[in-house]
Amino acid sequence: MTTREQVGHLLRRFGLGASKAELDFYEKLGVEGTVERLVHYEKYPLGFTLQLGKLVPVRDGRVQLNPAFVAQAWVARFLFTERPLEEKLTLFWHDHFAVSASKVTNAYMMLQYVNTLRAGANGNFRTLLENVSKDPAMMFWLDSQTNVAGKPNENFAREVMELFTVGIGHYTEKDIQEAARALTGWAWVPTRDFNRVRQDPEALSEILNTGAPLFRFVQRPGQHDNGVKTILGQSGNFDGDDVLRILLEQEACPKYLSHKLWEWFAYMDPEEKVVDHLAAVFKKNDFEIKPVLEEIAKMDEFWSKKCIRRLVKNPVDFCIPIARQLDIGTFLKPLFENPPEDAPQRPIGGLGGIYRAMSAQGMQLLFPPDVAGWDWGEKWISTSTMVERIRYADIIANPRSILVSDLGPAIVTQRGAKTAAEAADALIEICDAQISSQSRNAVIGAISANGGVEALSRPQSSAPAIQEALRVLFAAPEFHLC
Amino acid sequence: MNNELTRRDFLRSSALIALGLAAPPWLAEIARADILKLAKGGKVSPDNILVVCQLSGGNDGLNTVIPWSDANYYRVRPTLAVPEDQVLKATDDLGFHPSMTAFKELYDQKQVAIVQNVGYPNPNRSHFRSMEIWQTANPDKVEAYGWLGKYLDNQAKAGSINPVVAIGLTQTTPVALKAKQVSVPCFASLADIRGLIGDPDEERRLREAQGGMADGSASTIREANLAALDAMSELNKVLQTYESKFEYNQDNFGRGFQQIAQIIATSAKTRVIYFSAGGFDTHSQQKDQHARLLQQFSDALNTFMKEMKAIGKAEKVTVLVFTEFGRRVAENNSQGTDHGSGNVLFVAGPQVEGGFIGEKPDLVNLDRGDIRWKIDFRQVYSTVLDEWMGADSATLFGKAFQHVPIF
Repeated sequence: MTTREQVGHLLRRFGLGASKAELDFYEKLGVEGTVERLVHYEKYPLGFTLQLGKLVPVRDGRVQLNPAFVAQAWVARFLFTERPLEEKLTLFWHDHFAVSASKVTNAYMMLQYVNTLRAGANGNFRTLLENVSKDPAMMFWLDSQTNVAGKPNENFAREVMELFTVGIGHYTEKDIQEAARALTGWAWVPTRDFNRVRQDPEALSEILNTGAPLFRFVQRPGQHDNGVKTILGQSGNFDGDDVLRILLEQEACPKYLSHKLWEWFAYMDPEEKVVDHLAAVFKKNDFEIKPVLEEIAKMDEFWSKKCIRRLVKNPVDFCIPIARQLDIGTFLKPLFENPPEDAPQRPIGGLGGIYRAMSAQGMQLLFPPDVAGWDWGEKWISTSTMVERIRYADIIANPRSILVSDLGPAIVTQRGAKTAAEAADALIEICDAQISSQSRNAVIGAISANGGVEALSRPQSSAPAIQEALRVLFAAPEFHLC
Repeated sequence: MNNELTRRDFLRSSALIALGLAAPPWLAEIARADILKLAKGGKVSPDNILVVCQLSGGNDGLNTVIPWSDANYYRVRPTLAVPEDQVLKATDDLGFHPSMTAFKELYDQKQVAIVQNVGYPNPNRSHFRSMEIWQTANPDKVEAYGWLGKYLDNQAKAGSINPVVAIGLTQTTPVALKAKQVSVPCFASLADIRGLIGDPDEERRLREAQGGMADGSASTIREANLAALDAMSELNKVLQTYESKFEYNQDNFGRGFQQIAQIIATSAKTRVIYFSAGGFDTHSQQKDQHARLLQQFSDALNTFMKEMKAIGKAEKVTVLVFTEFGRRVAENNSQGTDHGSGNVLFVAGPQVEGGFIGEKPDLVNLDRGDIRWKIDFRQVYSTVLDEWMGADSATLFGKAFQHVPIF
């Protein structure tokens, strides 16, 4: 593999796809430099500042924030960020610690929850687990606030074991009941910022960018069960922190997490030795996340044929790289960095289509299907989701969008395509695709049938060819692997 | 029904399988013959349709079918119990949640069989595992293929299978429909179909893009794409030939059953339709949400049955309604209920023997706070597969289950 090809693999897995601009940039850093830059992202600039306060709807002096706006603000980050792993990891934790706005309808809570995930995404899992467990959205989602002495609610106790730390089979129903008792007395209160932010769109921009908390965790001693509990073989007058500590002490915990991280970044159903190796790294580094990511990028299995371009893209892996490769971000960015004073008072123009497409493909940000998050790998594939992926071409190549009218002429003039085949190859390369010759022929056919290079070269006539060419490209099976 | 010889054979054959020994062929043959005999004179017909409706999240059966004569019910559910005078009474012991008037109407018409205390050995209280168990009909190990998938694979053995013989009205393919040979098309909404198919030249290119051979996940994607294209060209021809005159509520259940009716009215080849709706995981503040869901479900099912009657399809349709588990008998401190086990299940349609099957739930002798299961859900599946779909469930499940008197 050439350095460029290796960097491409890293960007598809640890980034948000391999756009030409990113390939050019990271290729110069080499493989090690690319891993360093991607993994230690906190050392590098974001590359944008969102002024979302100017875009959020305000009615009667009150900010009208809803979960869909928060989700679309996240889509903006996906498009603009120069720290792609940050968003990809935040998404991983959103899936892992899945909280849905279907129940947590308070958009400020969901905003704080995403900020909590992002702030701890490449830090220490111990800290992240604690912060997310005590995050108000999570507490509301799994009923921690009504889990009180004498009347325990098992919801969080069960899921923290089954889904967040050790996995099914490593605890008993009795452990859940006892842990629920230990977790009694957790609650939250709103901060002063919460009231400020609802009156003042400027404050919202600030919160969106800095992640200052709007709610904070409190303990209510009067509601805590002070009896002795026995959890996974340990007994004592435990509280919620003890539950998390005991779970992190279990051998199953680093294994469970390593298995999941490997499946997110490399391939499904990893070999036992791969998981054991990563789990040992995780343990040795006391749950630091960055060493595990660096280790994944070093392992032979990550660079094997079984891995490269063999993982089914999730809807974010599918939608976001295309948008970045086609430079939709650059086109939209000024609107968000410096919105005009008369910016439309409605949810973020241009991003809604991408957000809805990802939702229709089975991954609605902020609305995971349940507390287990999304199912991965081939579970992303169904007739329904594949039809939606093909129809993503209609959203990207909306005939009215400036993008499409630019793309056709760019392929002809800048890339010098003289035939339908050359135009198809240019499009395939822009989209970082590796597809079969039959699929390529179908893309060429789509361009020819819609006026060929002649039609592509003019802004006013290029849309139908681009739209069908993308539809056909998105119908190619190999295009859905990364 | 309760043929003693048959049941003993069943037990012996399952014991042999449990020991890891293959049942001797003659024994398997006897069991199979008995099953088919049970189905004889039954309601099997080649154009029977099975609709499976999944209530995701674990529906609270105790507040759906209410044991209103049992003081224990009122004792363990101080805030959630439905007051006796509001229960829609069906028997001296049992009745329905007050928001289920439309369901009660079907019950009064003897169109609903209510199977009680349904579950499986070693109940699992995890949503995900329990749902998987119900969908694969295998509580013992994780399986890749579903109970309906196995049925479809077996149908496919007999020859080619129509691309829309089974349809999921779901965004992702439920494991119940996963099959080795057959790829079941699933659509979140029928509206998706019209958006893609139209121009025959473009359809040809979309097919060409699928390439020849593929392996691994690419082959799974290729199959899904081809299944989508096949199903869409098939359905696109017919769907618009019927316009419903019935009004459904615009909620998940209303929209779902409306589309099920649209498929049944237009797609003559479709025999299995799978639909799911969620929101039943009521750990807190259960009362209003649960009432709303039960009403949506009841109204939609009732309207659907009326529509089936109006188009002359009622006698051909059976609806199976299930959920992954019941909820804890006692309510929690959040005016909700935690995950439980044994539960009620419904089978609806004019061809079922309406009424209650099994004893009323025992609220005293509990299994870790949950209702003990007495009827294995696979008994229900087997009954429906054998006596309605004309299948041989003993072959599909590798084990024969005693039927329950649904039909």
